[in-house]
Amino acid sequence: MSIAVIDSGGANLGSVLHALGRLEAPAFLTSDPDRIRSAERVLLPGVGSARSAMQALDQAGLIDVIRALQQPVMGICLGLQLLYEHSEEGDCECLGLIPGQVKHLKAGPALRLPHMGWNQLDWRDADDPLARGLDSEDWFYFVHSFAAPLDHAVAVSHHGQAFAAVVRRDNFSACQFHPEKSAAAGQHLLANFLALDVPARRASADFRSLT
Amino acid sequence: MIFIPAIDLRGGRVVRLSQGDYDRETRYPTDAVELAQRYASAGARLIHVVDLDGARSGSESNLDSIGQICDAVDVPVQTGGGVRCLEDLELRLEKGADRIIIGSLCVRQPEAVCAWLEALGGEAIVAGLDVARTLDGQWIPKAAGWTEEGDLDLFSLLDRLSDAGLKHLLCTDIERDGMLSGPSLELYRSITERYPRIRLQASGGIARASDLADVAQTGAAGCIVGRALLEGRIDFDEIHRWSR
Repeated sequence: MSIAVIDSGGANLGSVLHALGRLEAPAFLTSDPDRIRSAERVLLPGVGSARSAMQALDQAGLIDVIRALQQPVMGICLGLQLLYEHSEEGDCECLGLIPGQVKHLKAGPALRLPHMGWNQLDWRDADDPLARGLDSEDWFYFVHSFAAPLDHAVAVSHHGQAFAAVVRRDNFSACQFHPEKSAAAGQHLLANFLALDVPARRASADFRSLT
Repeated sequence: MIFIPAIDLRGGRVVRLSQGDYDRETRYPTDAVELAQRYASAGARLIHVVDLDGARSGSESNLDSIGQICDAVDVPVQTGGGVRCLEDLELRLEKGADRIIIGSLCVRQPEAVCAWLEALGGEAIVAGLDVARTLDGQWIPKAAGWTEEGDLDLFSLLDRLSDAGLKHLLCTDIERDGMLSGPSLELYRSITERYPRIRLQASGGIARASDLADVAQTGAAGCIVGRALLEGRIDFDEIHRWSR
């Protein structure tokens, strides 16, 4: 299986490549539109701010490329937030593949920001293919200060407020935690992603065309 | 409390020093990346990597090894040794480390560390204080491979760092580090009582599995274990036991 990890610049992506290597699913790091389009699976990681990541994708000419992808795509951490319409982080427009706005995580006075550490998930849809073999006892490693809404969440986590931890819409999936740093549970989630069925045809390239 | 296995690097190799003395080094014939992977698969939720060359001379010779460890393990890594300016800290984050330990600089220039805490927040920074007890019972943090003393006692320094937003503290009792002489329980208890919101990582002197239960009783959030693991005094199963 060919797996492209989108190189959005700057971030250390070695651990993502290693995690896929452990699954015997060697991946390549690329910002080349053709290699991304032709890959069977695409991962969109991201470290840094939403605004800088969107600028990097824009400069690489990848925004419309990603929007048009039909194969299973997984966003990781900031990569999840980029799938939404807008992020409060740098007040920027994002990819718009999942409806909703990413906002500051409201952790409250007693909790620390960023939300950094191990946490558990509530799977809202235990039958989702991404949930296979996983349950609310598993721990995942998070580092984030912004939170995505719950509408398309298949799993939710909590840090002062509930936020989307795993989302899925059409061929686009994403997780707010770092599966590559979440030991066996993270590896399991990545394996579930790689095993997703390829959708026959996406209903719409952009949900906004439905409204 | 979580069990935090430690790897000390010198010249890219796994070593342990006794009481921080560079002339009393024990080398272990283990590859650092392989050891980190063994710790991760034993269930570690955080791995502690110390750059001894960086700590002593500011050398960057172990940075590549640190980057390789961060890439190769599927759990977060904290690293310390050799952070003397903000660029040093950022370089280690770019290498893939999650938390950076600031040691000597906390003692020498607490105002600089306070400014970073205020700018970056308390999550990415761990204050790594190595302390020795004076005859009148005060704990004094030391710098520069424990050869240099700061102006402030431990609690005065922690008051300042805590006000600036310190969330994570690693505290080592110099007399016990690498000596397998049992943990410094009184020290840890005095810290957790005084600073209930700081998450304390206890370090130094762990020799047997029962020491871990003793440290957990002090309210420490984590316990760092190095030599006892490398020498088989504490079984790898303990990592899993303390990480569930």
